[in-house]
Amino acid sequence: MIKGISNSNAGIAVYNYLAELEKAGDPIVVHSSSVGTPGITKLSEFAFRNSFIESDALVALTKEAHARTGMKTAAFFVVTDNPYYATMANDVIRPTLEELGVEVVAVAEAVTSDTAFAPHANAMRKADPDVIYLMAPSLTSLNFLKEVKRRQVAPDLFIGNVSLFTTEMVEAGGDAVEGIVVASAYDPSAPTIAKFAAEYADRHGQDINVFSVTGYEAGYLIAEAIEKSGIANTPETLKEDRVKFRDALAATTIRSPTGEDVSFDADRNTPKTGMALVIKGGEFIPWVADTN
Amino acid sequence: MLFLEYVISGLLSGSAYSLVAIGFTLIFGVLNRLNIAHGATIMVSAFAGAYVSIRLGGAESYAILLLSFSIAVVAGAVLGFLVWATAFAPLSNAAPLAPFITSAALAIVLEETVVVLSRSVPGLLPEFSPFPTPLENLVFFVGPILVRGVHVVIFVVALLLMLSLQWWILRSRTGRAIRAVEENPTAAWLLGINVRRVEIMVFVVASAIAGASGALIGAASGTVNAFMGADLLLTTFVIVVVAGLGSLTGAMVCGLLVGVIETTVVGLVSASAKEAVLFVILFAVLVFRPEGLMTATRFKRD
Repeated sequence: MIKGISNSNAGIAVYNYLAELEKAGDPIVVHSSSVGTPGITKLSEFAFRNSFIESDALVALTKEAHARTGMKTAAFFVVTDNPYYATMANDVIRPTLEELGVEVVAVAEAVTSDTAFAPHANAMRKADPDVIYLMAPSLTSLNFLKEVKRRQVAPDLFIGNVSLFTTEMVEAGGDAVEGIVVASAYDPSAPTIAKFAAEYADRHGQDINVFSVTGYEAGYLIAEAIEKSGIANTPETLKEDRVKFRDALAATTIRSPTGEDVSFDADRNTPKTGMALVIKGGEFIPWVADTN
Repeated sequence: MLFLEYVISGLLSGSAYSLVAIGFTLIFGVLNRLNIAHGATIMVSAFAGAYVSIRLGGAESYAILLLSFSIAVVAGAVLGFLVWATAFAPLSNAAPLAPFITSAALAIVLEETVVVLSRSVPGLLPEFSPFPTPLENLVFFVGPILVRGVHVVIFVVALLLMLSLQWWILRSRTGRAIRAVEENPTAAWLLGINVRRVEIMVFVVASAIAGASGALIGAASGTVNAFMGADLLLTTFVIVVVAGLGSLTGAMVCGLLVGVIETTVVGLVSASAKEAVLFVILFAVLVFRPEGLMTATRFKRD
């Protein structure tokens, strides 16, 4: 289980290392609850994840945004030092935009540690796109958003990525983040999530985010698979145990904190429908017709 | 016009680098040691200022901003003394690399402490916390060029601090003692100068400046996070080496220069080329003028 690494670069490295182990005939089950890169579990039959795979949700969100805004032009704000965001922009969103006949009129590149965004905001002002995609971690996106708002860049819509779905965004973002739409694995206003959030806050003293939910799911999946696998857990049976555990995990179903049943598909992902949320009045609410 | 905007924007944002570099180079000038905990001092001070502003609701109040700034300066000064007492003073006779390691370790301890506190202290948030100030959205136009009020404040504070420091070091009795210790600590001690007292004074003043930098940088971005100091330290290191280690004027000028280079490279080339350009400049300086662009030949210390 990849624990403690939420950075996609590091997560991808672990899966690549697993692929090398499999080639050498000594694979070990790897499970992540955060790595979202499209297709990563195809690297090995021992590769699992229950991350919210944003790529599918962003394609749906782009189509929904196109239907609702009639967008003709789009622009990307993208960090280049984390391949996840560039992959999402170039390999997932761009082809969808092309399919919809939407022209990409600007790409403003940054690195995660950037703190000044005047050139990026100027590029957006010059291009004047209908929609701006935020393909960057939350703090970088927030600082960029503040700068574009100061410079009165006003597209019809900002579409963010899942890392923007945090308490920090609304509490530190204020007016700058109002109206941003993100794809989420769950509806934060659902009663099951509210119950989970209250229990989580009692135990950890923090608000939940997408990784808290998938993290708990991962724990339930692994605990259930260990119980059902019948492994002997001895040095002599290690290789055999790993195969048994892999097979048990692939067949496991658990009830997520979201209230949904979660199990793996043939590619060892846990597909989730996802939904669009918008920041309104300092909270994330479902992006429905009356919240344009 | 766009180029001019990048230059102005770079000059103003570069003044934050200047502030950080002034404190960093002041400590090196006297102790001949790098204080890697300088970035962490900036970060902790910024958190102290941000916390005051969060608790008192400082989004609209200049009085609270002033209080937050003062708290950050005091926090920086106190932390500076603690850094000196734990990472430098016990190692005064050790190898030059020893305080580099202990101050780096202390920086990690401070960062991790803030990470833990951010999860448990009400008002703070785990990933980053707000620093609400009325300066954040204050903007005005010079012709067609947008200027942020907070950048002007940072520029003015950096300039005032540098002028005050120059006066203090060149004209005051303590300044003369600092210069004597900087040139030759043994000779200064033989002349009756309390070298340890000078070291403490320099640490406290440099760290108070770090506190001011932290508060202003936090106010400029509207957020603080546990690694903001570490992110600044690498660029600051380039600035002080290019300027010449120990040169206050050099730190100020090169901080501004780096701000302009960064902004224009990002605007005209790409964000990923920014650091490459800085390190090419660093490489060129180290090859052709290793003592730095803005220092005379330095005395060799004991």
